[in-house]
Amino acid sequence: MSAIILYITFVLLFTMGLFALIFKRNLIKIVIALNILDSGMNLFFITLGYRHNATAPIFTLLPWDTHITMVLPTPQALILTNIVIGFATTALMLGVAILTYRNNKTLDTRKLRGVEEL
Amino acid sequence: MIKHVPVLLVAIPLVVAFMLPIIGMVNRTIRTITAGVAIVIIMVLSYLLIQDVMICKKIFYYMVGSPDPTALFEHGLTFPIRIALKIDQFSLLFIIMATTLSFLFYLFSSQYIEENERKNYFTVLYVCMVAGMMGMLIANDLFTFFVFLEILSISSSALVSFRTERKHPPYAGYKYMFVSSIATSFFLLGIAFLYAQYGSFNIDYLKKVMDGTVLDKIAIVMLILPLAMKCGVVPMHMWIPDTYSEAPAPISSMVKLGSLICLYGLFRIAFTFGSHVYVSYELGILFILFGVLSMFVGVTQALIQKDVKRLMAFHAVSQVGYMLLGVGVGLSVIKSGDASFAIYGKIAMIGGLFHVINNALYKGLLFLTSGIMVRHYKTRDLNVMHGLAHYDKFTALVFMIAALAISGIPPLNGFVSKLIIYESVFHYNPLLTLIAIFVSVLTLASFMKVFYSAFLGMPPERKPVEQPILVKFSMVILSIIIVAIGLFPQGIIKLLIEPAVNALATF
Amino acid sequence: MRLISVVAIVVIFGFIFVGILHLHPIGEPVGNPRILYERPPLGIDTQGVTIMDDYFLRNGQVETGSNNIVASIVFDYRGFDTLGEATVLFIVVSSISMLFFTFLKSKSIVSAGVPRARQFPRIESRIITFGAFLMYIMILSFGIYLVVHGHVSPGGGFQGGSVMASATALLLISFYITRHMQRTRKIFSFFESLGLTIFIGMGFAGIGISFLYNFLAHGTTVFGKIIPFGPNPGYLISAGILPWLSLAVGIEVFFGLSLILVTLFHASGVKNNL
Repeated sequence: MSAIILYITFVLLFTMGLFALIFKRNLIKIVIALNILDSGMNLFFITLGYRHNATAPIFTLLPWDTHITMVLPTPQALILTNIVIGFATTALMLGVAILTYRNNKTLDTRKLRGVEEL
Repeated sequence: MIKHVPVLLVAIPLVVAFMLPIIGMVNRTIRTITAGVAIVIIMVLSYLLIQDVMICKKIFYYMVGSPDPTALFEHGLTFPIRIALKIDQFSLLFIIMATTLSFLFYLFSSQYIEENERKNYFTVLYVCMVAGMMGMLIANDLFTFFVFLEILSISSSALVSFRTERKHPPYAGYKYMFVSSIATSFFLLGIAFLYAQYGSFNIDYLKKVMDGTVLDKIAIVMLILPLAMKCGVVPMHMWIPDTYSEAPAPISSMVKLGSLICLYGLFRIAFTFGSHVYVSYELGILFILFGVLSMFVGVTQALIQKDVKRLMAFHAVSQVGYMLLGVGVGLSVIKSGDASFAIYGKIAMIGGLFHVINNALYKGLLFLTSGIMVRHYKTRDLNVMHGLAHYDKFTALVFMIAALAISGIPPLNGFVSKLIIYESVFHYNPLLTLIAIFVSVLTLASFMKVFYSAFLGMPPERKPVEQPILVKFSMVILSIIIVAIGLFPQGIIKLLIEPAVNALATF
Repeated sequence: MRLISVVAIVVIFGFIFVGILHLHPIGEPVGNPRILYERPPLGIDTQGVTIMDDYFLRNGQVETGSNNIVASIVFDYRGFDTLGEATVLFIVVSSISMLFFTFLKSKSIVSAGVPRARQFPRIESRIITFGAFLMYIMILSFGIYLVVHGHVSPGGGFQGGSVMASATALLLISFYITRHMQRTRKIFSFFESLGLTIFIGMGFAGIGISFLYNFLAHGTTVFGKIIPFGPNPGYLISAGILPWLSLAVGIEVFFGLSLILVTLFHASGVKNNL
């Protein structure tokens, strides 16, 4: 039952990230919020593949007995993809944020053009 | 060899994109030609499939990496273990549209974007964007769809901020990336919910085993809303004007094309899963609601704009509304049990999908002409522009064709699809037709304003420069297609659209 | 506007919460964990397998020859996703190069022509530079180890490549060299494209059967050692195209991330707005 803390952490991370995304006005802080959201997603995926009393899905030098089980491997492969994509998004957004700062001399979304004219 | 076509549609642009930086170091002309050739090859491949898929009703499956790529299941299993690619009539319709248009926009951009070292990366990202679209269109696997959605959005957002020396484009790119990362996060959450229940990502397999639990319904919402966000339907359209107006002209057209590909994903997921989770009626109503809101808000916002590209961007929002309206009417009656789907639902869907193609054509052409206008006047403000038609009759004529097509004036293609939508939606609810016609009239008014201020009036102070040959060529081809579809709509509806609607509506 | 946002977040929170309540309990996902050890050492066995993860756990080692099931999924069963993932990284490297193009043309305070001692007096330390050089070699060899052993132990192309790229970051902040900017960037860009071309070339090499088919496994002399089911000490010459793909991805990630680091490092030293 203590494993439910994984889901609680995921929901907390996800909601925190979402709150920060919407209420933070600094371009860098928004990127950090996206990273928090991404970490929450990764945690959730890993949790989905968890099995009680199981080992990692690697056979090298595994202590073998007849009742061994392994966790689901696909979520791990997928979050590898998701981590790389998250990294790519972060790098690009930070790069564009640098350029925005150089061109506008501010990182505050309220002072940047286009927010009021939704 | 024809069985490998699904994977080649992605692999050929990718392999060319990977080698372009090396080729670009050697010779820039060869680089431009190579990228063009790659897009031409996938265009030809997609045309080769018309005979098999559209006429003989064959569906192409491809399991990447399998010993027998056309076999769905290996070793007598009942579920696929590898990534499945699939081309059916519905996806082929979009593949043909995407390859043809991205080739024409590439021709435009090859001479419109000034030649320097930065254009190497421009070409690379452009080809990657095409590969991302192809991947989304052929994927029969939700996670693959997600990965290629990311490829599409990351390369688009980099290209949106192409002109970094100006003040606003980097922020526009940031905004686009921001919106698409939120959207893809939620999309991934939807995928996770489905995976937790059924242990698979394959769309066809999920369709087979889904039984309409609460979690399924939540997952459907999580899959649909992000894609709607990426299409720019109204409650989530705040990124559209900035993105479209700050990007270079061919990229505006490409981003518009990309949002139509997201619309493909929206329709695919809604129709595939909707009836199995017993939410197709609710989804149809949601689509109609989104559609009406987008049409109305988009066009009213467009009327008050002074910036030519922002105006066109708001019209893009309003045009997406027509497609959602047509397809949403079809979706809401598809499970009704009586004959209403056969009477008007299917025709509404034909109108909606036909409008997707027409809209991609004339909206792309409008963005291209806006690029020429902006390059001539050095501003996007309509109050400053006047009298381009005195010198540049060509651009004026092309703009006229596109503007009349978007406003639904016969005999151009916009008229045909809008007429189909009006007639079929009238059976469903006459009020919706009235709104659609009203929106169309407002569209005409707003484009008359653009034509009057940009092309008529006093002659401009300086003569415009002559446009390069490929720029003119791509615009001429687009205009010819628009007029041809407007004059002979029956052929393309019979050949492409009706099989697509049949494939979408069967499950 | 704020109120709408709060309401939206609460609604999303509710959706996720309800979704989680309906999930399987933690630790007991779909599938059947009991079936793992009841299989013959060779051949494909699908008795009682109901989801794809159990298929991978049961047959992944025999079918691909890789002890690391995650690696066999990343590079074999779902190799097409990995191609897309490598493309994402490639796109970001190209984007950063494109966006900071004007910066690369101008002189940076960290580039040649400016005496380093005057700009960064604290950084001129023999201990730092020599220590960084030692660390550079060690980090690089650890990264290479991770890449090469991707199919027998935890690791693989992406992980090893990122470890190697962190060595580049160490080198940059300790030496402040962007002296041969243009040449370095060209070399890095070349190797990045080379890695990706190897990856997709391996995919095309199997196209006689299917794209990304593992044509080197199952008893060929190159990386084709047949591995029976069960624990073993790990054989490098197994797993077919997996080590090649891992190597290709490792090359791409190392040079791609290094290119991003070098570009941003150079651009951070450009003073004027261009």
